[in-house]
Amino acid sequence: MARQRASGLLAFDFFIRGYRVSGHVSTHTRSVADMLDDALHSYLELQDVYISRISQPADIIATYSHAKLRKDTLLFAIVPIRESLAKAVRSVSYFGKERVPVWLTLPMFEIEGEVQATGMSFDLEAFLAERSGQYVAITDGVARPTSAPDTSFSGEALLVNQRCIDLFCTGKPSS
Amino acid sequence: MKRILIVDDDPEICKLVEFALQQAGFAVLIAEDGQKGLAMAREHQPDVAILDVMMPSMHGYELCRRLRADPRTAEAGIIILTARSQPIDEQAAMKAGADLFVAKPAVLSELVERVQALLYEAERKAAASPPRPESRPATKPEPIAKSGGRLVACLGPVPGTGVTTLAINLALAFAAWQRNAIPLVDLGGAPGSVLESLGIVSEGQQRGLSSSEGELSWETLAPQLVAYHAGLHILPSPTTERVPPAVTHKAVSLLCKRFPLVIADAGHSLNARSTPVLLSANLILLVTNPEAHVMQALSGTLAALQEQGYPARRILAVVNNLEPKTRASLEELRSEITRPILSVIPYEPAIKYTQHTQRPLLAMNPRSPASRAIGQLTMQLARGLHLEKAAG
Repeated sequence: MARQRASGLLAFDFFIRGYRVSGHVSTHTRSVADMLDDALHSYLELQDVYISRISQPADIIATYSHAKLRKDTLLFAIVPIRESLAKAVRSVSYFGKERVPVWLTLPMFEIEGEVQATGMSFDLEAFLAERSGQYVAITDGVARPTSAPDTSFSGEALLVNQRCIDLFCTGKPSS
Repeated sequence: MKRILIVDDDPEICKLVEFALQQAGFAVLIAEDGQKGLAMAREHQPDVAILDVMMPSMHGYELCRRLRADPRTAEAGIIILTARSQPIDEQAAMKAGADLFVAKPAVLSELVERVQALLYEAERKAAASPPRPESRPATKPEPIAKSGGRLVACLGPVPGTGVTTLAINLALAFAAWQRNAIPLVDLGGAPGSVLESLGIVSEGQQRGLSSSEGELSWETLAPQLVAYHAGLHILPSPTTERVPPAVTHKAVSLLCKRFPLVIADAGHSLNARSTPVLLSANLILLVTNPEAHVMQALSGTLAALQEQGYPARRILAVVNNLEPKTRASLEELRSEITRPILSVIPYEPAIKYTQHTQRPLLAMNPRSPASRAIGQLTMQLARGLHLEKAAG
């Protein structure tokens, strides 16, 4: 979840290999999705950073006032729905939007939720190819560490790094 | 006027919460980081502290732990208000000693209501807390069952049947139902097992108990009780053999004089400390499960109790299913156990979680089937023991 501070900082939870990083991002007029997809910057600037190991995700093991987060290896971030969309993008479809259940795996995590797709029938390949950004917004998402599936992280939206997705399942599970 | 301390590094949030609390008639103190918050809490001793987690100099969990560890601030209500709002964070907050967990962004009116509810609960608990010690001459030990309150002892035939878990949750259920303080006496072989289960760190368990039963009085006993949330007062098991079993027996007797009900966790063995207390109990709950080795040991425990002269009619069984699938049906269990089965507690997957988080099931998930079964067991025992709710 995020919180708006007087200085324009928002707090987010970021998940990288083995760690949960809670920190503030100065988004100004952009969304965090914009910032993650900004190809001109490889790192995301974080302030007031609180780091936990995924094995004990509530225990804060270190805090720093500033940090840089490498964007290409970020697994996913938990964000409010408004922050999951690029501010410039306005998708319109005559066929409306479809909510498609998805289940995907990343290194150390599995994620369940929905993607919003436009068009008459959902085509995963087209969905991934037609997207301009690197991060897929999974709404009503729940992420679970594979080593501790009883622990879950959820939020309005999970911005998942498409490059880190190993398996992308769509539709309802057959069993 | 009640004092509320807000510790948050976000000035905007501080201002908003301060305004809402002042409108509700509270005096508000503000600290911008954990260190200042600690100093301010020690100086002003607020009734409730609202703590952020992500703060410079000291994070909210650490501040919460320090407030709980300091006698000047230990009784304050604590609300964790944080943007780290995952279920695991709530568990961490509770483990650190918080009373409530509120995720940001919070609705101000709801936050104020939570503060009011916390203050109300604190007043209620204070009214139900053990009475102040009185000066009374030491008396000779006497049978506990005749000395006032009822004593219910939980005993398992072997380790790992969930005796401590049941005793804790049963005591919590009684405290909630009776709206009264309930003492839980740890007679278990492993020192500190109840405290460890609840994640309570207590130095010198029963160290203040005198080595002679004649010297033990309510004045020396009361400080040994460790207060836990929701009216639970724990008498930990002694860490030293210096405390003779007769002193523990006397301590339980004194508790029975002060409280309508005392729950004892007798662990899994009849030993020098637990046996005198067990023999004085109004009721022994034999906590068992359908596992073959447990059933085998159960007959030995029953025989041992009867050898000691404990009436069989006061022994009732509680089947605590610790596995999703049971070896035997209820009917088969009835024939094997030979004592009436008072309750069957269904398998609860979250129980492993409660062990990890050191938070009782009843507090963590009061609506689970297992919690409901413990609630029903409480009602059955209350009826059987003719217990009544506290007035008011």
